[in-house]
Amino acid sequence: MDEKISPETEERIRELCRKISVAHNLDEEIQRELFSHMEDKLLGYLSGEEKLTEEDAFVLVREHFGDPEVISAMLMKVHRAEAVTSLVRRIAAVLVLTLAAGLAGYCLQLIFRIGSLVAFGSAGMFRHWKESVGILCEAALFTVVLVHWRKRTDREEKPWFQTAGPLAFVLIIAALLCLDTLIPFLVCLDPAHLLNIPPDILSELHRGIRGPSIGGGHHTNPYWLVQLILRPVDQASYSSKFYSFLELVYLVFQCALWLWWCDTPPRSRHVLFITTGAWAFYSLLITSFQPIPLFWWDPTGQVFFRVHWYQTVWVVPGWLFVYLMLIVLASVMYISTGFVLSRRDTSGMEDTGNHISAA
Amino acid sequence: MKNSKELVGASTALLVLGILARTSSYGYEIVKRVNEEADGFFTWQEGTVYPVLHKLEKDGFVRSQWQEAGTGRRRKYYYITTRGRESLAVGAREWSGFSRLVLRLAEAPNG
Repeated sequence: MDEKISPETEERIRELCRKISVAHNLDEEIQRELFSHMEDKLLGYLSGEEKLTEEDAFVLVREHFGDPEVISAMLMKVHRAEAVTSLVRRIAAVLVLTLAAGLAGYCLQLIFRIGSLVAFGSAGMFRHWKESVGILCEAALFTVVLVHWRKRTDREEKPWFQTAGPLAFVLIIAALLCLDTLIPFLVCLDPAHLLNIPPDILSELHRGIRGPSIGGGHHTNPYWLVQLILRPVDQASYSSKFYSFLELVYLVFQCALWLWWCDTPPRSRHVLFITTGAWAFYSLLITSFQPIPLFWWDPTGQVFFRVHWYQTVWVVPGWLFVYLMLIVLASVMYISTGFVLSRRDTSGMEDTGNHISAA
Repeated sequence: MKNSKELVGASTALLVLGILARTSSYGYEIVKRVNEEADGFFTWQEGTVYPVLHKLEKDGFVRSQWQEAGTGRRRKYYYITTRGRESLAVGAREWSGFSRLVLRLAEAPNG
């Protein structure tokens, strides 16, 4: 057989094969095998007695091959361990990126604050503007890197997260989490402390970190609902309502991007459920983090080694509300995404379409 | 019909092993041979042979190797293993016994 199919039809076959994805380390070989099947079948039609156009032959090939989602789900059952590992790697990768982008955003704001202090003698200048730029840069970085990774995986390249070992993931995530207990709290501090300048007021931090106080006066304003979604450190660090709204929008956007990143073929509700669950778990974890002990100068000029706990840690209902709101948000995202994207349950993909024609 | 679908599902692995017991082959050729043997008795969605082949390989009943086919293209060939032959023999005996039982009961006069 020395016939060749046109590049357009070849691309259409590849497109069909790409819908059948099981696990990143198996997909290339599986798709190559399925492509060769469809190629043989198509060439068989083209060399038949009744001449068919490539277009018609492709339609027949697709018809006889079966529903890609069903085949994908069947292959996933066979390669369950590999499929789970693949999803876990994707989740771990997006987790690393979320943490790294968050830290980059905080670092940027820290630079802004120090720059502002040096240039204008006050760290509080253009505060809302700096907060907004920080979060927009974080969102942009997160999106750009994730899209870049997605393009690479679509081109069947292997980004670092597809080859890194479990230990590497654990170490990277642990390091980022450690940094995450430090850098956001540095942003909370008056940069004067960092520059070793005795500050006028040390109490800014204490005033700021109040967290959601259910017994306080927040009920009178619906804004407290928005605040409840945010990490206490964010509530403390960023006081403006606009920032809180922006942070909430980013939180929803972040969850949507997690879902987009993990929702690869075979696209099922299970994957969406696991992904939103992982995102909610990450958010709860990060919300629960306490600052690590910090050295700083107090107004008297003495160095203190102190552990600063949120006041909110003692206000249990406040924490429960933060968790509850995050779980509600994750549930809404899961249900709405599953509905909008019409994702199926893999258990409903058991009808292979094979049947006895005559008895 | 649900029953016939279940029947095909349960027998696919044996059909594939049966084809491979004759000669090593690749997915497309296996489907073609089964279709020729079945002579229109049943139809199947061709892509569903691959999960079966992969399951058989995982279970150690077949092994695979990429090699050049008669067409000059590289194809993934499957070879039946000793375990696969044993499984085919056991499966065929079970099918045969079950089939005889069904026929005997179905053909038995009423009353």
